[in-house]
Amino acid sequence: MPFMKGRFPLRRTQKYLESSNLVLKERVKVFTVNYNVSGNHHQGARDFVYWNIPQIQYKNPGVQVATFKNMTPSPFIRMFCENGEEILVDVDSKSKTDICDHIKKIICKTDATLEQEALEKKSLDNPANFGWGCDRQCICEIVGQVPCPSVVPLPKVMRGKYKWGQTFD
Amino acid sequence: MAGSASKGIMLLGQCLAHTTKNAAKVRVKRLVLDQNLHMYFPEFESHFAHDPEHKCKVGDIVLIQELPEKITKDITHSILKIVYPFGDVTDPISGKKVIKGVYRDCAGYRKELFGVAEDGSGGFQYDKAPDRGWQENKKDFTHKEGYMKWHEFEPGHPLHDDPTAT
Repeated sequence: MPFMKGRFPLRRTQKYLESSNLVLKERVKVFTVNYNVSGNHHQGARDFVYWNIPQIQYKNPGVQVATFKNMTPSPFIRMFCENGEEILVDVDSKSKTDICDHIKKIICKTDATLEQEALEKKSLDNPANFGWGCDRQCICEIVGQVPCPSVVPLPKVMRGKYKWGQTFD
Repeated sequence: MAGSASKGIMLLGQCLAHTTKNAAKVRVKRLVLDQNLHMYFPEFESHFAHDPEHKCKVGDIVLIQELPEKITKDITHSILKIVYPFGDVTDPISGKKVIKGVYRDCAGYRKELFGVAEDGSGGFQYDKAPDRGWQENKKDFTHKEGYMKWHEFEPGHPLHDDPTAT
C-alpha cells in the first residue's frame, strides 16, 4: 500500500471508507460528536471518532460532520435535521460497535434501501446504453451496426423516398 | 432533494469578531477529502448571519441556515440557534450548566472542600455574575477585529485615551 504510513493507515484506504453502511437519512444536515480526551467512559466515543467519522463523511458528503472536544463531562452525538429537529444520543460508556449499531438503527438508511438505491444507480450507469449523456452518442458508432447515413448513404431499399415514392401536392 | 432546495443549507460554526453591522461572522469547519492521502482535513469558510439584536457573541457555537435571498451583499445566512454559548455551555443530556468537563455544582462543592483563601474573593461566582457582555466596549474589546497599531498619540491628543485608535 503506497503512502500507507502512520498509525492504522487502513482507515485511509478506499475500501475501508466504502465498507461502512452508515448512510444517514436525507433529513440529517449536521452530525456532531462531543467527547473528552481523557476518561474511560469517553473511550467508546473516542474510538468511534477515530475509526468511523471518516467513513460517515465519505458516505454522506452533503452532511457537515463536526467534533467537539472537552466541552461537557458526558459524551454524546447530536444531529441537526432539516425541520429543526434535534437528535441526541447519549454514548456514555458505550463501545464503538454499540454506538455504530445504535446510530444505524435510529437514523441510517436500512441495508434494503441501500441495495435498492445501488441497483437503481447501476441501471442508470449501464455501459451498454447509448444516447445523450452516455459513452456513445448513436448506434451508428458501434462496430457491426449500420454506419451513419451522413457518411455512407443507406441503400435505396431502406430509404422512404424510394419505398413509397415522391408525393406531389 | 426537493425539500431541502426550498430551505437553505444548515451549518454549525463558531462566531468570530468582525466589523459588519447587524451580523454575526460565523466560521464553519468542513472536512475535505484529500484525494491522494484519502484523509479528511479541516477547511474553514466564513459566513455572515443576520443578527440585528447581537445575540451572538464571539466564541459562541451557532447553527446557521442559508437564506433564500441575500439581505445585503455580505449577509447570506440566518441564525437558527445558539447551540453552545461561549463560557455558558449546557450539557444537553443532564440539562445542567458545565465548565469544560465538570458540572458547575460539582465545581462549587470541590471549592468548598478545598477552602477559600483568606484574602481571596472566592473565585468566580457563576450564580451572581452578570450576563456576558457587560464589559463590552469598556474593558472587553474581543468583539472587534484585531489590527496593527501604528501610532501612539501624545497625551494631549483627543485619540490618546481611545484604545481602538490606530
